[in-house]
Amino acid sequence: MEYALQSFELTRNFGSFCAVDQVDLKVERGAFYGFLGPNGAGKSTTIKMLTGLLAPTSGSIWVLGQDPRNAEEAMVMKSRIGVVPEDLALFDNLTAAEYLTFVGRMHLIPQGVLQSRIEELLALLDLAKDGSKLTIEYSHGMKKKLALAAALLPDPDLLFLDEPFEGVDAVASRIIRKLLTNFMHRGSTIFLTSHVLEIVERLCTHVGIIVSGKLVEQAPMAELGSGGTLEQRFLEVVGTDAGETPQLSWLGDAQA
Amino acid sequence: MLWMRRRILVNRMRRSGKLSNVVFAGLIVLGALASIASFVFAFWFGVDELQESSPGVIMAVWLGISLLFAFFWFLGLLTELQRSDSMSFKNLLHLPISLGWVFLYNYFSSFLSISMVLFLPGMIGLSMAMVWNAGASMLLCFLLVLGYLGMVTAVTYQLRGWLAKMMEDKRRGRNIVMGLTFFIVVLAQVPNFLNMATSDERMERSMHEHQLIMKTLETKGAEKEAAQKELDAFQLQKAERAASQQRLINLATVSIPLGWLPYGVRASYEGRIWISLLCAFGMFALAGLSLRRSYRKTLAGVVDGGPVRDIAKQEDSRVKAGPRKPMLVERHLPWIGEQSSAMTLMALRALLRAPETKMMLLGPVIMLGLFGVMVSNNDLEGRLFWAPMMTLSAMAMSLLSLQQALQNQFGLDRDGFRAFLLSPVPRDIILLGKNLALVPLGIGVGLVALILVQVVLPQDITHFLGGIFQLLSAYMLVSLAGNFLSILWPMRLKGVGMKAAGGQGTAFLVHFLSILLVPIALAPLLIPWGAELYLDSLGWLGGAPVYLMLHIALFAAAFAFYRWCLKRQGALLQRRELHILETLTREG
Repeated sequence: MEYALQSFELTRNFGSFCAVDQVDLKVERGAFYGFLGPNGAGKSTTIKMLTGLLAPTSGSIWVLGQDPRNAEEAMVMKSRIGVVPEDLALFDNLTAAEYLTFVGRMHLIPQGVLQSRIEELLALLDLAKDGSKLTIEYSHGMKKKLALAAALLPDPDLLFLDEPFEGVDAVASRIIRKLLTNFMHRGSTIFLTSHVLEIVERLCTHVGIIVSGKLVEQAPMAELGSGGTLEQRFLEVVGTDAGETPQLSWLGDAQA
Repeated sequence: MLWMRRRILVNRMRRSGKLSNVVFAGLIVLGALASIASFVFAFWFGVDELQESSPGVIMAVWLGISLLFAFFWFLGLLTELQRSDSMSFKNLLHLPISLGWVFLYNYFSSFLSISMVLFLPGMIGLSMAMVWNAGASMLLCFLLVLGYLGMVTAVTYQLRGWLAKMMEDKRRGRNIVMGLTFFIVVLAQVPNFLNMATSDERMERSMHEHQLIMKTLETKGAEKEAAQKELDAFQLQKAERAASQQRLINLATVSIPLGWLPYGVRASYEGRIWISLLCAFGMFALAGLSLRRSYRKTLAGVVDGGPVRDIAKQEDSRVKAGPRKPMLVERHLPWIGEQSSAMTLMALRALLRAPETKMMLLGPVIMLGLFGVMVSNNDLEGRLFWAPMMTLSAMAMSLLSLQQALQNQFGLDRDGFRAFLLSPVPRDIILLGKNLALVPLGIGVGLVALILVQVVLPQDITHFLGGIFQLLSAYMLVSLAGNFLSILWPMRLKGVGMKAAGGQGTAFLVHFLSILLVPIALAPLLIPWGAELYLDSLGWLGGAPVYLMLHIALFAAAFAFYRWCLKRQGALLQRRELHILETLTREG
């Protein structure tokens, strides 16, 4: 089997705190991999290490057959991936078109192609009307959309998306979902983190669940949960009793 | 609410660590000592020096204090603007409480400032000295001081609220902070410029008076009489000038509210109690009006919501569709590759839009202004010999004032630095782009300095041309040093401006020391001048443009050195980029 992404005993410590603990990821080429976990479980830390935005404490990573620890291979890897990081990589003083032009030229996309791709992306993501705005003036959702546009622009083989739907309105969210599905269907790979389990369930072909830094589940969506929903399986793995009814003493019994 | 404030303070101190808390405690002790010293000094000064003084002198002393306080208070406004209220209205609006006292709490919290710690005890001390010197009527000083502080703080609080409201639009907010900083820096430099511009005239007048006095002493008879007459006329003119200045000051103190404290003190000292009371009343009235208006505006602002968007402007920008001009970031630069071109133009575009750049340019403008005033006030004809030295000094001075950007290349990128990390681009290209983006500022300002020196001290054309090559070499050397500092000691900047965020002591120290070392690093660029002088002293020069030729040779050497270093610096950047990212984006 050919993997787009693999990690072996990937670990990251912050002082005495272990944020990611010996994670072994295996993401097949052409998969839509949903990476789930509760808040503070280590999802963003993992994605940062996979994309070269954070150095692992130990362990190894292979992205599209390249070892990011090797300077030359890291460059090859970066030319073939697209990333929407948790903390976005935008410049305050540029407009969307300027930022995308910069990203495209750094990927050596020919000028004519670049211009038409930018126009398409801005129109599709509803950013064209704010052409004169600087990114510092953007809302969080607009920034996410711009980051996604930048990630898609170089036509990558592998897309890393850290909470791409956060703060994005319903219309844009639908467009993004369709874009990502098409992207996967033509053979590219997506590695996505999201808190919205319904989206993951609807889009992803594979799922990994991380809890307290440890990868506790990794399987194709079809094999996961043996008949139950993703939410049930997730709550089971995370250790919360899905059947338990939350109560507040002064509000009374919710079931009563 | 007070419990909540206390908890926030305690939690913040817990997070800050022991060293920070010790420093904080030290600052509080220092502040208390300064406060006591201010009180004691003001009281002593009032009793000892002002006991026999005229009302005019007393007013001048109070005028000085009140203007100094107003200036420092206004300086504090800049810091205040970048800090949220002690209790945010927005966090309390959903609670069933009256917000009036929250407003007052925030207003009185704004009193906790260095200006107040230093000036209030001093004003109290001086008021007590006034009572000591002139009796119970001077008790009005306390009322006047209270009114003055109330007026200044309330008006600035209103101004702060208004500016803070405008700053909710982030783009405008940055421009406001920069504009205010610009205004304050220029305001602080005004006395310097005035002093330098008028020092010659004052010196001349003083010399002339001295000569007249000497003449009256050294001559006899009719000559002495004529000299005496001339001296009397001169001194009369001087007295008239002083009286006219005094009238102007009186008029200003009566008509500008900032002068009501000194004018009220003077009136009280002269026994005009009603005038003094009127001054106090005027200041209290202004304070009350400002606070009332500020409260209403604050509430209205909170209830109305965020900034009003300029819909008309937005729609206007939509209409302007059509054949578009190529953007700056789309253009191509000659001699360098596609990626270097993109990097340079993107960085330049961002720099030109950043208000920080305009602020940064203020440094060289002030420096060149002072330099211009200085050289125009001196007879430099005999100093043509030193022209090459002055050229390099002016260049170094200009480049030094851009050091904040040169030696912290990625500081202004903030989160954008991630985009460099994710780019499939050799890191030397990123550095080259960064260096080239600063060329219009660095070389531009240096060229202005070069032309300025040429205008003041016209040199041989070969020297002027040599200066241009010298400037290019200097820029390359300074850029290389800046790259090293940017890679090894990057500094995180505050939200707005070029100021480094706290907790970066080592990097700050290294950056500061490196500024001191710049002149030494540029010293080799004086070799052509030294060589020319040496050859001239041996009589071997024979009109050859040695200065220019050596500078061209030095430029070639500097260029080769730059290219050699850049590759290595690129590799170093790649090794250090995660560390830089961590530094630039660390929170708190």
